[in-house]
Amino acid sequence: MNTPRQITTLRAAAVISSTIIGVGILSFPRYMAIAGGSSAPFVAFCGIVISFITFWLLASLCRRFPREPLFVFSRRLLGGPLAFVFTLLIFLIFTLLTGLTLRQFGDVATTVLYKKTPIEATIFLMLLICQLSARRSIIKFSYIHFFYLPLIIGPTVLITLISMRNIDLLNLQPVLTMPSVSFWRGAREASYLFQSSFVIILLVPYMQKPKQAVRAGALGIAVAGLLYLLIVIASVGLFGSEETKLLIYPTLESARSAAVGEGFLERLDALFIVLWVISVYTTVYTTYYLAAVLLQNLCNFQDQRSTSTVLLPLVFITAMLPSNVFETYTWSLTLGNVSLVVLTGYVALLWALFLFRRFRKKGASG
Amino acid sequence: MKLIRRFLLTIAVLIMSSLLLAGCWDQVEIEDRALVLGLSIDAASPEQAAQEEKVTHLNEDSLPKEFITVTAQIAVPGRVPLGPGSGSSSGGSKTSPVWVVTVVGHTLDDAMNNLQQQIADPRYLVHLRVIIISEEIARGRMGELNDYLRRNPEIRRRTWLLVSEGKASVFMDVDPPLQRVPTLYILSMMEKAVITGKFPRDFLGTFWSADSKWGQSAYLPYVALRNKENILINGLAYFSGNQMVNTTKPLEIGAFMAVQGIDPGGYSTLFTTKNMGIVMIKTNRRFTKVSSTIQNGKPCLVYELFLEGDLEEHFDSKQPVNSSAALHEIELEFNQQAQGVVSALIRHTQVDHSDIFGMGEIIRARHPQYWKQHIHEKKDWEEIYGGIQVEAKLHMHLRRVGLKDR
Repeated sequence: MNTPRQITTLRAAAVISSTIIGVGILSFPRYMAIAGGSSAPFVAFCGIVISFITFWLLASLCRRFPREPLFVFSRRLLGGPLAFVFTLLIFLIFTLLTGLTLRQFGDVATTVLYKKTPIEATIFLMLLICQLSARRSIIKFSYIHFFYLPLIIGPTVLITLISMRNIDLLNLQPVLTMPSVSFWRGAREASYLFQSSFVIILLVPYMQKPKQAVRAGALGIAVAGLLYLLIVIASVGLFGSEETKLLIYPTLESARSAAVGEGFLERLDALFIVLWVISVYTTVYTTYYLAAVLLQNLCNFQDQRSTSTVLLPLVFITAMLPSNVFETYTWSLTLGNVSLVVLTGYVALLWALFLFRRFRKKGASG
Repeated sequence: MKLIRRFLLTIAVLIMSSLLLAGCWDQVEIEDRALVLGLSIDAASPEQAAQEEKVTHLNEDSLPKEFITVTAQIAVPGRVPLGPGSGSSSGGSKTSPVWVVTVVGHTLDDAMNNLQQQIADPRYLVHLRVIIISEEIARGRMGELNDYLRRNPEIRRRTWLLVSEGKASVFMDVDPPLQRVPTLYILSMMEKAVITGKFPRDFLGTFWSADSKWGQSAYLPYVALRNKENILINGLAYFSGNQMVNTTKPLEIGAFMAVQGIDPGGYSTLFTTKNMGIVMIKTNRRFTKVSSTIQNGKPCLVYELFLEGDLEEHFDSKQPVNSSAALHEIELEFNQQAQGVVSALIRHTQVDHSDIFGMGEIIRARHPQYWKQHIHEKKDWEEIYGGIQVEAKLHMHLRRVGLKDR
């Protein structure tokens, strides 16, 4: 394969960060508060560690095959039919994930922003933008992420820090808690938000230094993880864990109650929502792109441009399927569970086969 | 051929852009909005209840029998003065910048729907800054109010919620000379009270957080009307288990803020000393240290209050205040007397099972073992709070005495 290696490590990290920061930031503190009460940040931290471990498994495998995308070498390791089944499964996961993410976006937009705009219009426009930009090559894809990331992180951190001025440290104590069933469930749910770091499989073949795939991911996950941690600390510290459990979008509430001076600069939530729309775009863009590339591999097409068009109605229908807000959330959590099993299982299987082959090769030569 | 293709492409682009550049779907001009600036909520009398409209329901039987009246202050577009100094433009006739509308309903949302049925423009609560509820509402019907206000995305957590002595609707009619819009006057009054240390920063959001916490009870500003025009901050209205139980005196706000260590200090204390006559001391800064222990299976808290203040008044005495020793004598006397005020406040709240100080939160944070064992819901702590041992030690430090030497 003669591919231009243009993606730097930093840019790969930016792609992963901006992918992870997405629709989940609004409701994330609620899940953590339900799981851990005042030690919600600790739960979130454990979730970040879990997701880093799963990412490390994936990226260190990709590193061994710096020239081929996952689909190609998995075909060699697993054999054609089995690899096809797994690719199909992962394609379905990312199509559904895209649809459900868009639906969550539409729900928030309709609740707090556009009360009269039909949710179909909000979702379709976002989808259309993603589809149009998903026609671009992976290099441009990484540039788009790299461009938006500072715009997402900078102001979000600023608003969160402003709202943190009024936090009560008592709300965050005790910091540690004995891990219980609900604790691990929370940590697992936190790791779902990081699942789209799977995008590294697209980047590795184009990276300048494919050996640094793990490092790029570590940086990306660390930046996004820190932001998530900050958001949890701000919400739980500001409202207390009991109040956070009551709020459907705690992060939005903390942005709404942030103010500079005595009412001098208020209503930062408007700015926050704008940034959040951008962060949703980058997230949906990645999952959409992944789904398009997976479909292209399934059909053996030249590139993902035609498949990205085919995908559009499919994703739109998925987004329209849940009948209410709660269904969207339960479906997303179920999907998170399924993809945790499928993705980790797939990578573990590939690892096992890879090690087995290497062992046999050694045995044959020796 | 090429020309046709280019033409078709242009048409397609134009159609696409007409979809994307059409502007905002939800656009409503500001003149077409009924912006509600302030709300007051009262329990309705039977005569008022009879006027209730059938907007959200037809059958009354299964609904609660109590009614509320809601009085809304709606900004009249073009008449709300923007910035100072434009007063003469309206001439001599004094046109009110707000329109006061009163409606009746079973619940707040029911009343808001009745309101909408009566006014032309769609109502918006985005600029709602002050909600005043009467004591009767605060004592009985907070649950439904909190639910509606929390659910509504237009309500902000920085709104002030006040409890009024007597009827709340009269606050919507006051016409104070300091501000042209009545609710904005109430708003600026509360904001300035926070800046000058007269009242803690107790927004609606703060109230909700305290209401949700298991180890803390909520409180709200308690206001009263004097001479038809003046609004007095009359104390704290404190809650126990989602319902208001009692109020404090204004000076006890100062005692409360001292226990919480909220800066800046704003209250002055007038008292008679043994040898120094009558003195007035103004508190400027407050700082508090809390230590907690579990003794014999019961929580035990010690508050150490460090205050800094000035001597403001001194009369009725031959003894001059001109030495460090004299100041020290006053300090000790203050500590003793103010400790009585603080302890009395704590005892009152204990009797009412209302932990407005958040002592339970301190126990939860520092003694999680005890907390897990004994507290399973908010009510548990409020029960225990009535019997715990709390000690307050005051340390006043007088710095200055003003411009008079003796």
